[in-house]
Amino acid sequence: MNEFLRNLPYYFFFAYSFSLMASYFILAFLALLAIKEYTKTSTIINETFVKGAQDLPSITLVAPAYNEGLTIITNVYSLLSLQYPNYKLIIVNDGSKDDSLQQLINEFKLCSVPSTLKTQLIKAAPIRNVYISINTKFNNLTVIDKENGGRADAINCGIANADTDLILCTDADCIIEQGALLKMVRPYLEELDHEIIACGGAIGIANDAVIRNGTLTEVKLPKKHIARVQVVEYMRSFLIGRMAWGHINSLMLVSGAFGLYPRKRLLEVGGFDKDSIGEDLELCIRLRKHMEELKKPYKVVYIPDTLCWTEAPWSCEVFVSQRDRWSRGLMETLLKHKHLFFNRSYGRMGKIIFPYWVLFEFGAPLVEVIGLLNIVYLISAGELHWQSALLLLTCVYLIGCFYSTVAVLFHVKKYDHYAKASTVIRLLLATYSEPFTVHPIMLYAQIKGMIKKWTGVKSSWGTMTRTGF
Amino acid sequence: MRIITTEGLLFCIGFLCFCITTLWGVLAVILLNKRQQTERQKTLEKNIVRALAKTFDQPKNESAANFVWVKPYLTNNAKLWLLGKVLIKVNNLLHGTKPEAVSSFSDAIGLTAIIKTKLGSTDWFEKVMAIRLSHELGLKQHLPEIALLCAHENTFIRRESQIALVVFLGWQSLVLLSEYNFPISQWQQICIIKKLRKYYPTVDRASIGTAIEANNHNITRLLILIIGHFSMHQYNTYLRKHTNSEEEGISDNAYQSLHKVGYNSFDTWVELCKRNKSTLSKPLPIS
Repeated sequence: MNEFLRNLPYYFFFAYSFSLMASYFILAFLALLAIKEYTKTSTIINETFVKGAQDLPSITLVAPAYNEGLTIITNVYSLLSLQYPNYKLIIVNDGSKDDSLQQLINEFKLCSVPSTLKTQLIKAAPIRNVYISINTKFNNLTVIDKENGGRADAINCGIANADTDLILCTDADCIIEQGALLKMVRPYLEELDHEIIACGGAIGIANDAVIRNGTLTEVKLPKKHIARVQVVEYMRSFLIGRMAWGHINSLMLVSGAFGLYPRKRLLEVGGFDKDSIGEDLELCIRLRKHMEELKKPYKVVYIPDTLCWTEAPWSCEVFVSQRDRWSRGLMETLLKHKHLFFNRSYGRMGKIIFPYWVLFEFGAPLVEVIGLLNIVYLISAGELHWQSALLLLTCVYLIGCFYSTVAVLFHVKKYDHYAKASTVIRLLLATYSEPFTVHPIMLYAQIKGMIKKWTGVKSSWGTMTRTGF
Repeated sequence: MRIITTEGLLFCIGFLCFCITTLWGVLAVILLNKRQQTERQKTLEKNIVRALAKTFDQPKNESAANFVWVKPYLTNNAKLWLLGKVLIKVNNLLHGTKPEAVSSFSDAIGLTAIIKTKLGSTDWFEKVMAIRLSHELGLKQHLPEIALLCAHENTFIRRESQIALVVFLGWQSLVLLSEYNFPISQWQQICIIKKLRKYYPTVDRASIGTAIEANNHNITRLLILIIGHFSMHQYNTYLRKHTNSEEEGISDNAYQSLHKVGYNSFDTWVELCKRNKSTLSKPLPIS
């Protein structure tokens, strides 16, 4: 009995690691099924069939901008050149301190017009001015200049000014693929039995990519190791994780950088929570909760095609700041909705998805740190069985390598972004070195974020330094 | 007490190394295949255009020996869909000049017969692709088989065969569609309108009248959109009736169609106000 109690922590570590690894394998398998199904359905229901159709739902793209002067003009041109017959673009200048607004006024010949809020259901920081272009070429562009209130507040301001069926929330620093809206709108057009409450698309990393006239013409592997590792990380997250969860209608996160929502539902839940750091996750949970309470069949869907490109953090400092924020956002959102934990009233979300997020998405870094501390303790006490420990670490490392290789394989099979053998080899080498290079930094950032949140240390949203496309 | 033995760990490591090496092999094959696939499609497009140019006037006179290059494409499913894709592309380019050129070519190379067998396949994807190829290549002889699939339990098969019905029968298909008891997605509605515009630009009032009289709520939205798209002002009453619909989207579509058929903007606005006072805050539609 004593021995059992003494070994209890090790049983816990073993059970936890085994469950985590098993969940990864299950997710990879589900992702494989989902990709196969998506390939078939996208052949049958191809967006080119509805290109030029007049009856597509209207969409407003809401893109908040804060000090994006370096890339704002290129990105607005990119957002204005999308293939969709019926869309509007609202750029919300969230009290930028740089010359973003002046650049926009000069480039797009903007003139001030009286503000006309379409709804009072969503509140946001005061609007200073609303601009539209006097050039008819840009008649679907609106620029709102408002007091600084954060990203969520800026998007809420855009939603309050939109009057279309659907709203696409993105960032002004994103490059969106030309046919992205046609692909994103597809689930809303084809679904009969469920209401689509959110649709997300994959996000790609555009560091060092070639961009001409606001369009990404050539994807290149980032030169910086930290950004290169994130390429595979995004593949793992989007092509395996989200694809798998989406396949069983259990997706709980649609990225804030690229998500399409019905305006009606956004208004019903009051838009984004402006006080939340992980506002995209929080909104998705609230939307799902809302639909569960309404007892209406719904779906959160995910498109695996890379439809949106963004610049990933390329310096250690910015990377730590981003992951610290994500960690705080996750913890804050999970705490806010803690009543969902194993709550049967909220269906699959309460029974499976939310507990999974708590145990594995939030719990994994904590268990990892405790495990590392335990190893340090065993070494100092001279109790570590070196051979077993090394073998076990090798095993865990290889499982990670296997999982990353599967993600790269899925991507290479489905897309042509990284189709050269040399590129794939460099990508694999980067990801195989991840556990020794980028992962410790990420773990540090995650724990830092958790401690900050736990101790109540005030921290801002953080600044993303960009090099520009 | 050890949870896992050294031998067990060594076995796991060996197994994982094997799996990763296998994945590398699969990756290499995929990369090689991808390179060849692009070349293959280019060659196929070139061959088809060449063969069509030769047989443009009298495809049936062409010797079967001249189509040997196409045989490998008929035996493998993936290659068959590729062949179909290229033929659809060519057919769309030829549309208006000689619509039957590609269907005759399909007969000559034996593709039509293969598509017919695929219509009876148990795999839903094969079935859908066969229906798609039939209507895109104008293989009207497959209509009896396709008509039987219009009430299929699989949504994709049902949708595609209903679209095929529109392509082959035109406006008369609306009468048949009004008899089916399945909802029609917005995607399908858009496709149907697109096909009617492309192949049957002249309205058949008798058919649309019969479809309206059937009073099937599954095609109400489709009919409203069609009336708007083809500016059939004589159906204003039908549209006005549906401006009061409780069903989501129907009333909006009815108003949009009223606007399209040239119903006075001010009248539309007044109708809106009568229905809902809050509409007064909406801007007056511009004609």
